[in-house]
Amino acid sequence: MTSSQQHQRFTALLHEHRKIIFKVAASYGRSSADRDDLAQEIAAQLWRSFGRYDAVRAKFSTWMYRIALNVAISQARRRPEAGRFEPLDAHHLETVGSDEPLDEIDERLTALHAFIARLDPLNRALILLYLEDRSHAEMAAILGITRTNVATKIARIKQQLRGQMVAAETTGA
Amino acid sequence: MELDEMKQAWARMDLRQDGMEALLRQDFRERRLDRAHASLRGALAWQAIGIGCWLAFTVFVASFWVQHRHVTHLLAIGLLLHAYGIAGIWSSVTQLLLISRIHLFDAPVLVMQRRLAQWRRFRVVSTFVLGLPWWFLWFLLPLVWMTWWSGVDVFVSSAWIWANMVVGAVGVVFSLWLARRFAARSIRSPWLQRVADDMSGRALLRVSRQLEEAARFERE
Repeated sequence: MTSSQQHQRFTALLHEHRKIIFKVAASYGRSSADRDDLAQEIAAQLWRSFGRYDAVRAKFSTWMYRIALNVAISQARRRPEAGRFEPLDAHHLETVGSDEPLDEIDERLTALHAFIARLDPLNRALILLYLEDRSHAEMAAILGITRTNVATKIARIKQQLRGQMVAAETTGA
Repeated sequence: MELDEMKQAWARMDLRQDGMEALLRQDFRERRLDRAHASLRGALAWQAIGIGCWLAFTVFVASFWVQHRHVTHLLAIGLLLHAYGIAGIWSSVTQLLLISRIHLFDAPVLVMQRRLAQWRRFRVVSTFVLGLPWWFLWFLLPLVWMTWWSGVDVFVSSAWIWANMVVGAVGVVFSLWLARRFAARSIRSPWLQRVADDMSGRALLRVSRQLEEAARFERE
């Protein structure tokens, strides 16, 4: 494959799976500028690694998630004290195919984003994949843990979230 | 709200993509495509140059102590520098191998994060071990070179050398104290911040926590 063909193939795949980049950037970037920068960094790293991508060994989305999450976690760790998370703003969000008022969805998404921000980088990766409706097998392949471990962790995070909601309701009452 | 409800909200939400995609495409086309490959080549070339320099240094000090093996203090200094050179080669080769394992970022997340933490830990420790002796090397190396070049033992004026050894020892203690004092504060220069973090042990602590976190994530 020539360099130009490889570039064309890469751009087509990048376009097809672009949501992965944006959602990882939205989950790990602290501010709007941070999210844009992270998205660009992920795309650059994907291109750097593309020459070694083997479609027989992994699905493109699995390979892409691995790289995107690795870049995002590394960036988050390089700047551990870079300030608090800013919620996703209207610039980053839009609702798709929903009759629900935007405010109600926004409220839930704000709560979700706040919950995600409190998780450590590895658990954040897990919850992102769960929200993206990935199978346990794919989550295990992306994260490098067993399927049983994935199931246990999701159950634990659900429990943790339930606890937080109860605590919030008690405080609010 | 349950996690499953959040999942439903997440599914109905989409990220506004027009602006972000345009930004990605423009940046990718203009800068990152070439730079992505160039930065990798640069990192590997830099490490290769480092190995070459350390090899040249080690060969030089080996020839020095072999030439002066009958003079005890010159033999001792030569052997110490030889050990330092071997440590430098070991550090550069190890870092080259570690970088070649991590540069593609396509390993499973846990494996990759563990490799990255191991590389950071190695970098911090080797910077510390190879950096601090410069409080002594700055005057020992020119003297070794002068002795080798002129054939005259310039180490005979031992009072001056001992005075500098004491200054070096004080310098080591002072730099450790300074690093500990400034590590907790926010330093404007990222380079100085990194040096302070490395020297104070703060970076090592951070990377050890990351390794523990990875181990816990795998275990639980």
